[in-house]
Amino acid sequence: MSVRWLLGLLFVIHGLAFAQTKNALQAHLGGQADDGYLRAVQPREFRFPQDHGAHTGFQTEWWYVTGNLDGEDGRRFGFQWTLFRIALRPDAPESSSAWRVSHIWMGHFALSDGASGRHLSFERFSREALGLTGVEGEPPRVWLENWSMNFAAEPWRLQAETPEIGLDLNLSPLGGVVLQGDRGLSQKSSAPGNASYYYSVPRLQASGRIRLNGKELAVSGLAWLDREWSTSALGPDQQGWDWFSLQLDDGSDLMYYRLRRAGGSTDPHSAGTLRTAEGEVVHLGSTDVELRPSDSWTSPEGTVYPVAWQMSIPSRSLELTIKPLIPDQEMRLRVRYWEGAVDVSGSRQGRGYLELAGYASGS
Amino acid sequence: MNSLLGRAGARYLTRHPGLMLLSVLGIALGVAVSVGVDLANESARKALRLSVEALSGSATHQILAGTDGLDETVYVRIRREIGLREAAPKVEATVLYDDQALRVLGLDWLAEASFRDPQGEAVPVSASDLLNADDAVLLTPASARRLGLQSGDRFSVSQAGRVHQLRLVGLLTGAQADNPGLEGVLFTDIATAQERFGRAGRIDGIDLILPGGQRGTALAQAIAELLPAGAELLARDENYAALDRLTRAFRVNLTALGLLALLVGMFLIYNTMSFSVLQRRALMGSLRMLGATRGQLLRRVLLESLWLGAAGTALGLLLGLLLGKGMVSLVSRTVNDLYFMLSVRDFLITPRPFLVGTLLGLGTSLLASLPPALDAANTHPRAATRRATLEQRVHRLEPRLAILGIALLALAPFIVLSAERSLVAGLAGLFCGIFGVALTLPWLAGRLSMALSTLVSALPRAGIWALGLRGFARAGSRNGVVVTALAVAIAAGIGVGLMVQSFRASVDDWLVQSLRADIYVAVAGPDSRMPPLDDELVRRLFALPGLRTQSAVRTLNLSTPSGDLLVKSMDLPREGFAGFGLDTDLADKIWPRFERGEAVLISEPLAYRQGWKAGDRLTLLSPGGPRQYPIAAVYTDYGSDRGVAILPYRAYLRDWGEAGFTGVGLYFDKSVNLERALAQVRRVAADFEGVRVRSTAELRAHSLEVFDRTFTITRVMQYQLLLVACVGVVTALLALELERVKELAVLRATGFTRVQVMGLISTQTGFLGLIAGLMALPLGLAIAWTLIHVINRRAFGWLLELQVQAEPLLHALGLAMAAALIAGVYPAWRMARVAPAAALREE
Repeated sequence: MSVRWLLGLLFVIHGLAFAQTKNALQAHLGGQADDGYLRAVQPREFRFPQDHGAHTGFQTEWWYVTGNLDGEDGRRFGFQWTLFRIALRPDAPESSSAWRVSHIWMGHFALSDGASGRHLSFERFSREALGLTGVEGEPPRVWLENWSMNFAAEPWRLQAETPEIGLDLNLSPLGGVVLQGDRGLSQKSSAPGNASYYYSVPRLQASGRIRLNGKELAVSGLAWLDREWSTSALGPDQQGWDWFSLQLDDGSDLMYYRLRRAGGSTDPHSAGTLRTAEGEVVHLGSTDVELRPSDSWTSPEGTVYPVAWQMSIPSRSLELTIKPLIPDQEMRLRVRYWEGAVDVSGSRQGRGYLELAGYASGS
Repeated sequence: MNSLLGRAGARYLTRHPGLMLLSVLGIALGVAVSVGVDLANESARKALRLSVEALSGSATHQILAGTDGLDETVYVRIRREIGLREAAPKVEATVLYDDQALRVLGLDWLAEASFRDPQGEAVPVSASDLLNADDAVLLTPASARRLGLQSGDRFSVSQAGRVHQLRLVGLLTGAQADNPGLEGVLFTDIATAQERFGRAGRIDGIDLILPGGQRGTALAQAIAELLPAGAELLARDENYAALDRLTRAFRVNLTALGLLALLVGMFLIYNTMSFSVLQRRALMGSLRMLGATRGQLLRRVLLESLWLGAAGTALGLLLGLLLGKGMVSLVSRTVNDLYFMLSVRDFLITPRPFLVGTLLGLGTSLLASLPPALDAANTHPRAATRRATLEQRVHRLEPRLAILGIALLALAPFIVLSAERSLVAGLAGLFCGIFGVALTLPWLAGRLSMALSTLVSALPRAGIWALGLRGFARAGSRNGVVVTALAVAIAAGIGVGLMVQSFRASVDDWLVQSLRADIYVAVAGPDSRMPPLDDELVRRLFALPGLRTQSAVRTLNLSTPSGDLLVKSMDLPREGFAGFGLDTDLADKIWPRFERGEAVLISEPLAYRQGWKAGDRLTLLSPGGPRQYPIAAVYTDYGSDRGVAILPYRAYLRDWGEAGFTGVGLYFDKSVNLERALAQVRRVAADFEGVRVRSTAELRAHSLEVFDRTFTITRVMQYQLLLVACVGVVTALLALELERVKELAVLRATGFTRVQVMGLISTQTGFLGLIAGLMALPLGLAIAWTLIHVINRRAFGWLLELQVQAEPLLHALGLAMAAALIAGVYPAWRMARVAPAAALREE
């Protein structure tokens, strides 16, 4: 899913680099992307659990889990947990210092509390040195300090702790892996190699606990895993994206991202998939899906996010109304975007996650 | 009546502008010196605080590694096991750029966000640029300007003899850009710092943000348990306080010198005020007859001196500001040399010195004018016109003051001993003693000049000399005060001079005695944090032809239950052991135990500070647990005022299991040409980086150079003190001129030439200087003794021997006379120009 791939690059340029100019972005995109990294040019064979681990030849990669949870007391929660691996160089540096690394990692972690209307978001960075962060083992475990995802055995285990909130979930895959795009090759623009390898595990049975306000709470619900790695760039005319991951009550799972061009039009490379309860995977193109924003939320800084939508997929007779669990689910981090739990109603009921990127200035 | 008194006073002062100006100048200089030194001190102190704060960002706590650094995995464990994210490692180094020392701070920029860069705005370059390049550094805009560097410039710095090419990739922006505490700090990535400065695997500290309350305490506890021996967790203020304590002795000593200048200034004020009262006795008598009360006269004189004091203080504060600006670099340099590398070099003005200076200036003015004010108030209308009464009164007063002085002098030792180790008590006692002596000096000066004049006038053909001396003796009360001021200034000079000289001689003796080898090869840089010398280098050095024997040392920072300790682990030949300067019998007895690794030596400052003595046991925390070593002896060592312990290398090898040396000493056969040997050693060392080769003579010269640099500020203070005294002499002589106009006019009228009059006056001033010098000698010796045995001991723990040589004493005597003579030139010239007729007519 292109969202995090873009985020990853943006992070290198903005989040860390702190440079505020688009020129730097362009220079970066024009220059480094070619220098010795692998690129996603043709479909590949996916193997699991190995492919849950890192693909270090590519410039960026992420492990991305979102989900909707119900507390034992009936409260609603949404969570997002993401680790980004970002290569600083394609080769392994020679150095006497362990701090001279080829990779740095970024983590985002957020919790939405439906009852209180609060959304808490956290980020952290680390270089892949001295065991602070990285991937290890087969099946792999991926971690950034005490934020970790362990694929060692089913159920997988997802953990994240901050002084304010904590999360500890067992995740059991229901249904299998969905390869996005062409057998997992997800083309982002017409330029060859401007693509990623992308798979999802759209339906994970989640159970465990969260910690909030110093209290532990048992929770259960559904989560979604997205995995993507690439060495490619955003086209200069692509401004942002709106990404939907929806788990519907008929047992089907829907993913769709709309790439937005400058001026707000939809890029033809926008795409998605619908996996039915029976396991059939239907690929969706930009012409298959019709999206209309129905409500917006304005951040304290004045950024307007379209947080509620009408989605139509006439070919599947789907007419969905998508509304946020709470309006303010903005990630107020170095890279600023909106990512939050949503409720689905209309021709199907369901829940899901929505990501809105490229709206905040400088994001 | 008040306005009449006021006008009378003002009139007097405006009629004698020179005198008024000089007394204002006297106060001003006294205030200036003490304010200046205080400002310089406070500035250095504030710089210290700013440096500590700026370097630690918004950290609440810091883990400080010993000089050897800290294993970087400690940091990882804090993050991973304790889960504290507000932790950031740093690697520090000092490099030279164009002879300027810069502090290098190697940071993990990804961990720094919470400390320096919450907005993500500080670093204007891309992360990959900073993290990928092994030469990228950042500076604040102010630093870059000062160093003449621009973004993109390549430049080279050197550290430990190695040259490093660096590239200024950008200037810090945002809040960090204007932080004066980051002046002269080269920011770079932690990887770059580790690679460049040989610190792979080590970090020098960890910045932490700990929450308050119980959680913070628990975290601190958990972290402290992770720390290896040698590292400590300190709250930021504790860190600053520790550094502040370190530099305190040095600052207190400077402040004391400043106060001494004020004391001298106080005598000047007294002199001026009493003279002005004396001059106006007739006027005061008349005013009393007109109905002015004693209280009114008392208040009037005090008010006058308050005005003078205020003018002098104001001028003094201004001069002090300039002086402080000049001195701060000297103070900072000493702090840099001895204690802590300040990143702040600016002159930071704090209000306190001005406040203290104002109080001191006004207070001393009032205090010093109290005796003459009382004198004026007590003027009996009828007696007022008779000068003899005053002289008598002064003569009666002098013995009383002398008795008071002797009492103070007797009190001084008790003050010194009241707190056995307190530096402040030592200085207070010293001041009490000096003040006591100063009070007896006018009386003593009177007796001395009387005796001398009797002596001289008894000589045949004494002529003009006798005339001059008799005149001097007659002016007793006035001269007494001037002589006192000059004597105190000279004595302080003698005392400080002798102390520095004794100190230097002791250091030199120690260097000669302890530098036993012919050539020393050592790791360049602050040695205990550098990796040891290359084994190959050591092997090749030890295989040099003509080498008789060798010594080796590893400088370490080891932990004791009571904190860090500088330890030198030494592998010595028997003749090298003699370098500790122990008594021969004792050395013979200890040597076998030392050689077997069974005993340690400790330096004198360490023994003094810790109260340890031979026979006690020193506990060191070795990797295998605490180890106790018997202390075999205490030896002399001026290398560190914090103290050093000497651990036999064998014991270190046994209990720490680490090999390697940070320095070796080479002893050559007598037949070997040392010049050639030195060249040979240099050739061998040239194959290795970061190695410094020095002959014994070079090492000694370098050590003394550092010593001299440290005491530059002391010398500067000494001269300032003398300057204050000189102004005093000029003031006093100009005052004398007023009194003696008529007398000199008579002399001129009776045929004295101008040259003769000048000779007469010069005789008197020279004599004044001579007496001041003579009295300064014993006082100076006493001050030197106290400085060495009380002040230095308490401040630094060093035991010095007072070494008295004739030369500095004669120098002081000459200085006193020269000062008096030079100060007398202008008054003499003026007096000689008096037209006899006019002067007599005025009467």
